[in-house]
Amino acid sequence: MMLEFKKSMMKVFDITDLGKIRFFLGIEVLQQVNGIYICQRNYAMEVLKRFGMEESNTMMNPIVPDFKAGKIGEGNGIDETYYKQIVGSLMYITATRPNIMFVVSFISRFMARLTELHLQAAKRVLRYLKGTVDYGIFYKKNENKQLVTFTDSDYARDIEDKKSTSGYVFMLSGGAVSWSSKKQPIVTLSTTEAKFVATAACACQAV
Amino acid sequence: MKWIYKTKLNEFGEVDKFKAWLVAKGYAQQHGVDYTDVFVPMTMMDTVRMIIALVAQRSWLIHQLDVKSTFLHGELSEDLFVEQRKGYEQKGNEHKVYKLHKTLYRLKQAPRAWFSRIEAYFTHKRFMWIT
Repeated sequence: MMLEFKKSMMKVFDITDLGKIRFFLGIEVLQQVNGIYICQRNYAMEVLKRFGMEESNTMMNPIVPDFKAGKIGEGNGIDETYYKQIVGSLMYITATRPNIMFVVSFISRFMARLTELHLQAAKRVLRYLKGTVDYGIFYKKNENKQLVTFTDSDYARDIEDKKSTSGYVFMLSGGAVSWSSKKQPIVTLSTTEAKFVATAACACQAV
Repeated sequence: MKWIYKTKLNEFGEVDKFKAWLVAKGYAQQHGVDYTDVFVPMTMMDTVRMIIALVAQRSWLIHQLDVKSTFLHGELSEDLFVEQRKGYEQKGNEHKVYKLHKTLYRLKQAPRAWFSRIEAYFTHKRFMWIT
């Protein structure tokens, strides 16, 4: 059937057959006997090079646990463009890296009022990336066929507006397929309410 | 219409090939006159990953095809004319223009026209939308 389709496509359009998929939009796809692995190793290395971090020391985690930062503070001559470029590049890396989703969404909140602290946080993500360029997602063969979902939220993490951050992840064939980490749009009065908001956002995606 | 020249380097930074590329001056097009719809649906990464997960689960394989010079396949729904290329005008016919049958790169409607084309093909082959 595959061959038939390829033949038909070739008749209508001028086509190169690339065979089994290996690259797609900068994502590396490895089709193995026990499943499929996707990662952005090459892209991650390119990003590190672009920001002059390819020789940096690695970090075990992408952010200092319980690190908090606000928008208030004097921006003292930090290269905004440099920061924004880092955030933009990291955003694309979240296509196969749900584990840095929270940090990337966190550092992207400070584009307008930058301080040294924010830049350090962004660079820490890059240093973490340096040690984990091979990370990706593995979808297993014959894994249980159910869609598994997790959702949670923190409570009033933002030091200025006291809004909470919620997240969710959908898993299929043993790998994550859809995820998000987002600051909630409203102020909640209890952890229960914050978690309820998170669940609602998650349910929206499920539908 | 104009020529774009590009020198492609290989991975060692040596000259690999010279490319000449005939493109339309898309920036000179006016909305409502030369083009109307430019909307093209884009793939959501979530959907892509979902498909990969399902493929893995069923022990299928993903194949990849690449359509060469994609945007030249688009059919035009408007009547479009382009000026002759500078320096390449036909003697005695300098004031004449070309009428386009298919889309050129950099035309505003090129992506849209390509989408319509491939969509028609898929529908004809009885492919179904995933929603």
